[in-house]
Amino acid sequence: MNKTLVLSATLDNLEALMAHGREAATACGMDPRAVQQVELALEEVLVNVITYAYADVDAGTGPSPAIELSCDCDKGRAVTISVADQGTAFNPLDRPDPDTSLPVEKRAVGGLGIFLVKQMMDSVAYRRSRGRNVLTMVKRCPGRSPEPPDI
Amino acid sequence: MTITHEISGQTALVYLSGRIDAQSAPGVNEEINQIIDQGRNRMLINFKGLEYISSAGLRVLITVAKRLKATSGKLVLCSLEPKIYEVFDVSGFTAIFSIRDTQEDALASLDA
Repeated sequence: MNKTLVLSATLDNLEALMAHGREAATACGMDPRAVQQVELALEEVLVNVITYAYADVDAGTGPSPAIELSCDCDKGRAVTISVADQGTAFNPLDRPDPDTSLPVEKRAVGGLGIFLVKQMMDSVAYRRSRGRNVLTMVKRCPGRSPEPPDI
Repeated sequence: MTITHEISGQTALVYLSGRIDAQSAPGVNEEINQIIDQGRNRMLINFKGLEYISSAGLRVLITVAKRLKATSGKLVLCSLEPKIYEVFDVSGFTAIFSIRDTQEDALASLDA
């Protein structure tokens, strides 16, 4: 079961996109706490795309600033979420993690978003494909162990 | 997202409830900074009703903490729900913020 939502990459659409992810995780059988972790990871990725993906793109001639959000449920075992945009090539996973041991005066104000994604999801991967940045995240439904693949 | 506050002696008590995400974080930032602009640099933030916080909210808190620290102010947080505490913990914030379970304990820590 795969559901894709395509909306323009604006902050106004953040809630609708997050609701889509929330519903998919819930429908896949995740408990509320895990759903919220998925939601948090999704917000971080979406906000990055909304803020940066199309910043260098010419509004008149560039690709339409859209976000494609796909949610897939693997038979109640795991949720896979993909966020794709046609903006400037950028791999958010390239950035180093923030140093979470620094005292408050030395902590950088930013950098937490992708770090939280990595903490909340079981796997995160980036690829550049046909002019799109695609970030894919997977979270296993707690309590489920993966079954062997169908042959 | 609801943010209210009251002044108790020298301390600003700030109450957060609802959700802090990328859309509501700027409002929280503005309101808390206005309180500090009014001369309050002893602050307690009560998270009792807060159900969700993302990095946008954490950024507001770190900016507020830096601002208060720079003026020798004090900041204490209290009443974080476990799922909120988890986000703080993963981010390293439990080590750099003063966090208490109850408002009573939090106020006592400000006087210590």
